[in-house]
Amino acid sequence: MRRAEYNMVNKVLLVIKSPPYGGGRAAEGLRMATAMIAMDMLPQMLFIDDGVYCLLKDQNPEAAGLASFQERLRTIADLIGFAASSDSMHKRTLKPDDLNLNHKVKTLSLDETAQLFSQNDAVITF
Amino acid sequence: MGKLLIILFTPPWQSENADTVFEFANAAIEEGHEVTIFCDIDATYNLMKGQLQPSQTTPAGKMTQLIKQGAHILACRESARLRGIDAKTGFIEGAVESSLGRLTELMEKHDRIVAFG
Repeated sequence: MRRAEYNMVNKVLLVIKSPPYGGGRAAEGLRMATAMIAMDMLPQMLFIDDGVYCLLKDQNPEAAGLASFQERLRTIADLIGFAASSDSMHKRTLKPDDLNLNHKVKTLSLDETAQLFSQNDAVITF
Repeated sequence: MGKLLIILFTPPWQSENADTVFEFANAAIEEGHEVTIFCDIDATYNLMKGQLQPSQTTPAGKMTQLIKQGAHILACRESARLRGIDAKTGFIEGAVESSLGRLTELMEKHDRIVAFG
């Protein structure tokens, strides 16, 4: 019976690769994380490429009339923590000190990032 | 038979994602798998009825074909609302309004998840 060959998905990695402003993808990723947490399915979250800009401290998008999701980031971080690619940060000349301390970001090497991908059943990219 | 969950994020005509999803889902159904497609954010536009194209191969037309083949097509209610789409009357027949909470439930009930976007 073929059905038995499959395993249900219960570990999901949400990858944020879009910047915080200029589009709604990163915000949608956070909305997805919120929904999953509310349903007791805790995802892992990884920020790569321009997605690492979501984690910068001292953001003030309201000054440009944009909505801020910093509070949502902080709430999610309190519950599941965040990981960020050190390679993506390095390419953007960002250092750990540039990130918001409240987000409890763990920086990962490329090898550690690869391991994170392999530990999950599904990866959804925003 | 496996259960496949496809999440689509992109709108019609800006990329080939919707077309790829159609071909992918079609192939999976032909192989005997159960297919569910969740349209999130701009992907909800793929399900709007009233799309016009001479060849009739609109994204909505392709999704309608998948529904007839047994696929479950879901649309994020909040994404539709933000775009001014009436989730009860604006979508093709057979498309069902849904939510990210429901999507989370579906994740736990499917064998594989593939996201396009």
